[in-house]
Amino acid sequence: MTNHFNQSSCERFGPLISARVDGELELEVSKQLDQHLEMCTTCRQRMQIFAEINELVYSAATPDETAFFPVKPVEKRLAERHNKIGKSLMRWIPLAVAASVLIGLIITALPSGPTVTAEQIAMPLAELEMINDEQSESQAQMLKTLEFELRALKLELGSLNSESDSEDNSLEERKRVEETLDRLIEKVKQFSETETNQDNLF
Amino acid sequence: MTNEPALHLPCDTDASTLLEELYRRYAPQGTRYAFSMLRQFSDAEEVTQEAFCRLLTKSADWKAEELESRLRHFSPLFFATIRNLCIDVIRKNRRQRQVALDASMEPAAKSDTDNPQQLEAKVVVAMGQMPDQWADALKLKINGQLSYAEIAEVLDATHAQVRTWIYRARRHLETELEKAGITVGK
Ligand SMILES: [Zn+2]
Repeated sequence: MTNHFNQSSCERFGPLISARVDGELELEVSKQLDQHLEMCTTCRQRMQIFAEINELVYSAATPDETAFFPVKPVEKRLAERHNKIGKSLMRWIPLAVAASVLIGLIITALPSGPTVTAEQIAMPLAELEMINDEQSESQAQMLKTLEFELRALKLELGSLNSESDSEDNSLEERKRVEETLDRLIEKVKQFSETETNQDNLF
Repeated sequence: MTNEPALHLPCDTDASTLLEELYRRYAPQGTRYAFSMLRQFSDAEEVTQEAFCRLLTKSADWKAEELESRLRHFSPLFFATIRNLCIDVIRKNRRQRQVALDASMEPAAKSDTDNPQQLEAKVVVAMGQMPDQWADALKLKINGQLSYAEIAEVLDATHAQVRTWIYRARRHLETELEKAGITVGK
């Protein structure tokens, strides 16, 4: 069949074809598309192309022919956390998450010499992870260490600030990071205080 | 999934049990999505497990009245967590990955496009060249198998935006593959 549609009318149907491939096309529009598809080879071909692209994207996200995606039990991972760091320390994890997010922020906020910065900043967190794994450490000590590491981070940031300046934008960002760090330190302090007063918070 | 499975919440079941069941349901597509972001299976697996552990940790703070809605919206929450973790990993490995990407962008001989691995490499490169939102939406759709509504939640966008981004991603791939001399759909 010859195609008697102009390009712009076909462009209009493009997003609908894409939604149809995803099974997300509303019923009312679906009929319109069907009518168009019946008469338009270009759009029929596009639907075919989109479907094949799906297969390509899917197989590109498969490590190799034999690999599949087994559901690995997370129990072990969780048990490790529970056993090693103790149940009450599970509350700690969000704090570590916040710290790692901050590290990400700091790295992006510092355009100059990011490699050195990343290494410097990542080190305290790695140490923190190690501490998490050592049950022998007392909670209070761990909290102190975290607070210390956060302070060290802030200092590190300060020294980097003085090295590179000029851009207002990045300065503003750094200020924001510093403020966030302050809040985090404050939080750790509060947490530290409540933790010593109460034992059964988790 | 498009059709979120019915979730009955008996009063005596705790959040962690339900979360684990949901994890089992969504882990394969979560890992696939993470793999599409990270291109490293072990990293993808790690990130998916970590995402679940974080949600489980967070769930301890969820109030009883918000528990049901949280669990009903598990997949956007799970995929958003995976996405954030992937972004962290990518940021950390940015330099190495840039080198890898540069190497994979070297033009291949035309006959190589018959090789499925070469073809996949082209797809990966073309995905990397499009705006992040387009690629993200398409990956969440195809690899994560999320609905447009769920993707909108993960990416903090509207349903219409998601639809447009996915369409544009497909058109971009179509054009790029054509440029590389690969014919699809014929
Ligand atoms: Zn048409």
